[in-house]
Amino acid sequence: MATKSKANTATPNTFEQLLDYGKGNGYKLDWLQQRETFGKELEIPSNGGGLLLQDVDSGPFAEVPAWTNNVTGRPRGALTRPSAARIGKYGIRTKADVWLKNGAQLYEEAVQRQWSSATDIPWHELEELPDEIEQAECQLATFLTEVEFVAGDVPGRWISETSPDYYEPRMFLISQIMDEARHADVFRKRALANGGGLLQQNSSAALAGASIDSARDFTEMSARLHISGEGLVLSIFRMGERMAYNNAEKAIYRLAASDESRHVAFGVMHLQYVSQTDPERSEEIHSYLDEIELGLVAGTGGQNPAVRGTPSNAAIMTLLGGGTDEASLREGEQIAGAVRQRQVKEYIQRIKVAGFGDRFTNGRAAAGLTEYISA
Amino acid sequence: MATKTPTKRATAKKTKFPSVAWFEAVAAITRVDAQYQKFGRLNAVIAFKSGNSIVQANFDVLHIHEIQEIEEDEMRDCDFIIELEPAQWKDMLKDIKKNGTASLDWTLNTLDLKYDEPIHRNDLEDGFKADLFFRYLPSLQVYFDNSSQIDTGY
Ligand SMILES: [Fe+2]
Ligand SMILES: [Fe+2]
Repeated sequence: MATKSKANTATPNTFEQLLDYGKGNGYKLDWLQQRETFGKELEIPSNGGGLLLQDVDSGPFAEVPAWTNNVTGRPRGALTRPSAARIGKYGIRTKADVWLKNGAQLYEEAVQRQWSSATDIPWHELEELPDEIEQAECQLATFLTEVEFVAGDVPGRWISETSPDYYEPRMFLISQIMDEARHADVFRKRALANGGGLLQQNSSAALAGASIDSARDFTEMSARLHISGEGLVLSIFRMGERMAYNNAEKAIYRLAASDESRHVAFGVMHLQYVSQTDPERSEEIHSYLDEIELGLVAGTGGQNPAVRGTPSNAAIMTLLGGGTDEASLREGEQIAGAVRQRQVKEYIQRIKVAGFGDRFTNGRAAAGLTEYISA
Repeated sequence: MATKTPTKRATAKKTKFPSVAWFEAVAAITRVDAQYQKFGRLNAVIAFKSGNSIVQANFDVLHIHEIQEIEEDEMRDCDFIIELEPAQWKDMLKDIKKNGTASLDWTLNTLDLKYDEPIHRNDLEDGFKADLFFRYLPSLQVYFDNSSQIDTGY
């Protein structure tokens, strides 16, 4: 960051003088170059939000190439060094393949809204629960520990695929993995902290992860993970506050939901960028959405913990209804049903923002979607 | 998120809800709230609607400013709106006053799920902006929980 005092003293003349002095003393100094931003005063925001990436990136540093051959790990905007070795296996070298508007903002928000599962959850407020409720909590926490593990794994592999010229989405994904690690750890803690334990693995979570992980490109992965999978998990976390039996559980779900909605926002903004800049991919994206919607209405794909007939859904019904007797389960199922409807409505809103809302009016969307909402 | 003890100010005048003064009073407490600061930056202009009364506030990093009454047609410029019936606002705020923080039935999130329609929306059906409600929910809950520290009149 060039400071004001530098701006006053380091005029081009001074720079030239220094260069001449160095060269006169036997130094080659061919690496020493003056950038176009040198000496320019930077406005430091005074709104208490600190200095953000979007505040400092200007001029050549803010120019994001539509296509890049940067495979040497050169920071975006830095000058090339011809002898630099190729180090990266960067498959993502096209901007539209990974870009989004406001990626830096989302990353900065992620950094500032971190929390600790150790100290931000009032664990001392956990109290003894009826056995069937504790078991349901543990079953759900087992499922979520498994899901969060996958949620970290999947975006992880795209980080090293992305050229440093697209560092904003890359750094957001790094923050997402930190979030997912925290989610995996907080649900593990919940399963173990109250005299319960991890219960049965839910194989559908691993299957869902595998199917997302087989995505051929970043946009496909993002639609499946950020918009579909994490959109569904966000609803579960929001429902979690209603399922909470104490302030510790309430805090877990509330804080995790806040993180999860950031991940969903990333996916929506990326898909919107694709729809605005790469219309040729429209049919391809719609085909991903076709599959995603099948998962939403029919429960295929194993992404939705609220789908009937799964251990996680049984746990959710127990927690929402307050017990395992028939009346409680019926009540729990009723609430879960309402939340499933909300999941679909929110999905539709997000797809509209992403620019693929035509599928809801031209008959392309899964037939069951509207039925599902009005059910 | 430890439960806060409600503090009573016996001599304090009641601040009417909804009003600019009420949102200002809660904002003044929230700006210096360690939990609010811990939850980190926000970036949203939010409208709070109760009956015909609409108050807007700009949650800008950790500042809460530009608190003002707005007209119905200005809500479209807000990132999202939180709307409850006057009686629901009253019951929520009374619950917060009684317990220091919202009890499980009265958190913003529970209220958002409880009724047929969510309590939050973007007036132009912009789902991205509406989703800011979820992103900032922990902070907004701290904001409303802080109303336990003032005496609210209706
Ligand atoms: Fe997560
Ligand atoms: Fe996530």
